[in-house]
Amino acid sequence: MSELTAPAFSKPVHLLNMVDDIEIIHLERVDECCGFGGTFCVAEEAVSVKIRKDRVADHILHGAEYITDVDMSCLMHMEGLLHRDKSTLKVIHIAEILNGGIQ
Amino acid sequence: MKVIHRAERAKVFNEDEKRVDWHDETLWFVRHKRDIATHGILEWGQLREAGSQIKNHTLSNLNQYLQDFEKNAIANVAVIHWAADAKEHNDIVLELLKKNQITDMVKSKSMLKEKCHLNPFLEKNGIGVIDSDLGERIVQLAGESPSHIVLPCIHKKKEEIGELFHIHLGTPKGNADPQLLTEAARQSLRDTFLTRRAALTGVNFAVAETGEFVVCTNEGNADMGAHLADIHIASMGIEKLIPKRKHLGIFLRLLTRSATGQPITTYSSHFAKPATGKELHIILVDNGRTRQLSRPDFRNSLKCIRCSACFNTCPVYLRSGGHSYESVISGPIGSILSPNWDMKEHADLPFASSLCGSCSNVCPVKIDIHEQL
Ligand code: SF4
Repeated sequence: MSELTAPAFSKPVHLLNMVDDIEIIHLERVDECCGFGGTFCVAEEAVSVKIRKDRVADHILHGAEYITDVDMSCLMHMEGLLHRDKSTLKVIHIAEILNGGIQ
Repeated sequence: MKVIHRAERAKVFNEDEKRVDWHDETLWFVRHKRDIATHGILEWGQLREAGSQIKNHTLSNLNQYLQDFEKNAIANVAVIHWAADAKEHNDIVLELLKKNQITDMVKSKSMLKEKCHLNPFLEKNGIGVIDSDLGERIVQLAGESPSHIVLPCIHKKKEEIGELFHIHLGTPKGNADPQLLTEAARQSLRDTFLTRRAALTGVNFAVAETGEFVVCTNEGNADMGAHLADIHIASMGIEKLIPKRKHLGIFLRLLTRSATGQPITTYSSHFAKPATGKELHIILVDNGRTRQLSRPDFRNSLKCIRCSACFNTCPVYLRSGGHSYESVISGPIGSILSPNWDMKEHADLPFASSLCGSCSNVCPVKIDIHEQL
């Protein structure tokens, strides 16, 4: 919630920082939406697709290898584009990481 | 279903991806400036809370504060008019102009007047209206409507403005130097300011305790218009009230930091009394506001101080442009306010949100925008 001025604290990042060998990449837009939004992606397809494209591009620009999230639908939404583009960037749910999913 | 329409217009906007990126980055830069300005204020969270509570309190006691404001404004020798809707508002303006045999007037930025379609109404009745806010002047020359409430011509590139000024103000063809264009607008407006006898302005905040009101601009155009004209007509939605002058400090600090990242607008002008021999009229406009006030789920939207921070952070607005909303107030807050004015006409707007919630977090008066959407 980069809009707020309270000291930033992210539980997911806090947890991820306890896992060895993970480097957290910082994005240009820390927490911009992925563009999914449930029925939004159906009602407003063009805009939804563009938001997703920009969100993924931000990760690629900063050399991310994985996109992780606590929200499955955001991940699936972005994964759709990564598959289509045959990108090497992968999505992974945070639970998979915390369960030792990246070997 | 009408849901398609806005989405269709947004799709057309997205056909030129470079332009979408330019629009997105230009406004994101404003959001970024807002972040820097607000993160520099330790008590920002408290300021937002105070702003929110004062607005809540005022809305809950609006009848009393409106009466106080009226009484105190009248004591200041201002004339108060009440308008139930856009038509009444426009009729009041026209009548005032006619009574004083005025055929041309100058107007500074006011979303309310835009909402009332005042310009076309007056023009039909033989009154020439010149918008004096640079951004509004540009969209007026282009025959368009504002695409953003604070930055009305943000959808236009400077080359396009150069072309427009070449046609209308005779600047050299192909010249898009911002300095030159601004100077050309300035010169042409100067004459307008000197010759118009009536000036219309909006109102940012009206103080019940003193009967005064404050207009915030960066260009000083509202002051120039109002001070040179014989008649100053200020239109305000009834929700613009705040109880006391001391509350202004909170709202002035919140407004411009949220809007553009400036600590304060260049001009925050207080108007209370007309100068000797001149007239000051204040039109208090309802136009659907009391209806919104009576709807518990949406009354919160009346707290809005029109800072536009929610526009500049909205991933949907950034990538679809203000015109895709086809509504005077676009962006996240417009998607709540516009359906109140016309539910059928704007049925598609609440769908223009991915519900990410950035608007609610950025809002200086803590409106739960995405929850209402
Ligand atoms: S809803 Fe809040 S953020 Fe949006 S314009 Fe109004 S005051 Fe500003």
